[in-house]
Amino acid sequence: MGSVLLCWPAHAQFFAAKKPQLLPEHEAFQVTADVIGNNLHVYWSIANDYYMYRQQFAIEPASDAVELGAINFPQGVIEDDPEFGEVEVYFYNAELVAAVDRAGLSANKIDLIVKGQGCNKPVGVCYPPISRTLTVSVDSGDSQTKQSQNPVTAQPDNEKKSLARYMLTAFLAGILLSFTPCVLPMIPILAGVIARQHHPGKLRSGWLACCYVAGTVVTYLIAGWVAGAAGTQLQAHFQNPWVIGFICTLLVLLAGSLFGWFRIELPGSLQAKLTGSQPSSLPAATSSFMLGLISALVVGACVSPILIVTLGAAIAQADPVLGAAIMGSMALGMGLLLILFGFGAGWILPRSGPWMQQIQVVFGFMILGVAIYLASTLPQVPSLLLWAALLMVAGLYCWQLAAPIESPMINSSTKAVAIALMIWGGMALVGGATGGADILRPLDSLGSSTGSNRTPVLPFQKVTSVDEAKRLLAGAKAQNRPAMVDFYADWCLDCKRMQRTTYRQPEVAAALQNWQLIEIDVTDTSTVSEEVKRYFDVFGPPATLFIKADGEERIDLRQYGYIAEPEFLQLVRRSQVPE
Amino acid sequence: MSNKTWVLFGMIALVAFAVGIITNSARVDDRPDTQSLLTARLIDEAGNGTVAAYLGELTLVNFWASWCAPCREEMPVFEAMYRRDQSRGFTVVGIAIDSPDKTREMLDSMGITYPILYAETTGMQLMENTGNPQGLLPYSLLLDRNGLVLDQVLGRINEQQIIEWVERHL
Repeated sequence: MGSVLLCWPAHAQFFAAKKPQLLPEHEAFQVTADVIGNNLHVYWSIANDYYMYRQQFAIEPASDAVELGAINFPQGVIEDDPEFGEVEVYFYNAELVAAVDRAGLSANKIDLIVKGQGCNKPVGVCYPPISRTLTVSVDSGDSQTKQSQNPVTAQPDNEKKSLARYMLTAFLAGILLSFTPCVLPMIPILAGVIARQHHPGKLRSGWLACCYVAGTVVTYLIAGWVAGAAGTQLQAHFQNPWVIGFICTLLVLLAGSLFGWFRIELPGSLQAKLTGSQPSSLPAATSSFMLGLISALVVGACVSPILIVTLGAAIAQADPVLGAAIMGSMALGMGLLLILFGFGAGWILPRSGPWMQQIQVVFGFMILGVAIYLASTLPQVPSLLLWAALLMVAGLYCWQLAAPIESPMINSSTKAVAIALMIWGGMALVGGATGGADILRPLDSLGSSTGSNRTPVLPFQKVTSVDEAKRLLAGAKAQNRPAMVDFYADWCLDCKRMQRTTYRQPEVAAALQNWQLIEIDVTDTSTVSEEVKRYFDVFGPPATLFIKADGEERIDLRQYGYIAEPEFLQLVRRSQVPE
Repeated sequence: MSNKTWVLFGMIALVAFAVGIITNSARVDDRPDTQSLLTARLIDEAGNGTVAAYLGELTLVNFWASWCAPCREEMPVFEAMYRRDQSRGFTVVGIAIDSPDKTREMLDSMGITYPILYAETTGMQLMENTGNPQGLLPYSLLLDRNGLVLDQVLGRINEQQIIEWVERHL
């Protein structure tokens, strides 16, 4: 037994390496149903590389009140089976149609049991027979009128809102960054420029500080623009484990320096150079602008992990304007302190002391959180357990902070935060040990067998090519159903987040009940995915397009980026009323 | 904050991290525990049997079902290898997630002679216990003479793979 234990890790690796990547059953085979006229339509949506057997399909009404006619099968693909000869199978999707006689039905819903069985072609494994219960609303026109009766309030422009949110977040991150040992050295540099002036007034030195900050902003604007324009080409690389590992290592190093384990600073010689060698022929405003341009690069090297993350956000948007806006906002945030200093608010400068150190430690914890968030995109990383460790240590630290605080109110609030953090960490530990993965819902895994059934992800038809998408859209138009097109990729964090949150809400599923839902998977950056992006004129995932029943897209409602449930429901409602 | 406190925090973080890695890797790719598989009472030709009773020096336990095409493709390979290396102690035990009536004709036409056990109702649970929670087929475990797992394979197995196992373990 001892030898078994000793060689266990080797075995574990061996097994893990050989395990093929297979989808859970409910993702590989998705099914929805609709009643259109006197026909019941059951749509099986089958993931790429998977197929289902014609002879294993069955549809049964759950009650006797409904009678179904024989199933009308679409044309499948003939596969040669060693035992049973030729069998008909379906790839991508199968739409089964059966006449429905609902004479004896009083309610306007039909409960169905649909059965099927499928396999994965390349790996050569089969899933056990599937049996799922579906509820179909009979009068689908009804639910639509109900939706459009909902009052439509004036909508803020969503695109502008999300842009503002990104910019605000980046700005706040910039302010936090200005307390790091990376940005503080900029102050003496700036002070050096101002000191060269003869008796500068507060306005004058404030103006110089503004010029200096403007310089840093321009540098970052350019970086953001380039990152946003490069967009999808770069984004795919961000899924590479080596890239993620490298960035995470940098983040952990930066966090370590904030915890005071070691120091990351600009080399003294560089600092001196920047302060010392001014091209004196230039006006002071220009020279401080130039200085800003250059020192942004130097300081940028120091805060590079954060820059990379912010750049990652810019890249994910695949929009040069947005990318530039995000980076520019961050630079402005970083410069705020300098501008205030320039206008004579010397008191705002953080004095070294316990307060300063604590801010840095808090920031260090946040950076570690960013590292875990990034690393969690890799399936082999036990992200919940890392979160557990982080939250518990942060909780303990918080508890420690409370000790010397004399004010009972602040003392107990701090302790409350500490306890909350530790409980959260504890839940993450339990969730992580039982196979959970979502830090916002750490205990989901405990009830997963029932939980995932209760809130299924939406029944998207998954496609990768223009032709498949066109065919589905044409089908929806023929049936006079609206459609939603969702651009998805495995490496797209916001897409995964939407699948975990928005697309799992029962309200969202209800609102989209009669919709043709199409998910265009652009995980592979190939000519096929480039073609489909060009056809829909989409930069990249996540993108959500609403198509009216007449086949026309509501371009004004098109969304890029993450959409939370309330906004999503509003969009669905708006798409149902004329412009 | 004193240095000592930091060392303490650091150690707590390190321990939590290590515990996390260990429990996590144990969860992801645990070496399957075959106890339930070995001792479960299943239907066989004689009426009742266990996997333990059929163990050889090297045993390939193969889960299959009549509705699984890849399973049917690999079974003739198992039969051929069983006949070739039976004398060296290699054996194959098929566990059907099926009933005997549904499979008899198929087994006859394929000429399967290695022992088949039937686990129509308990088979899914047995697979879950041995590292295949989704119940995907075909699923095979290579066991040593004590019933400990030497290898596990989800999906088809080819002749080359079996020859390699036999050369390595017998």
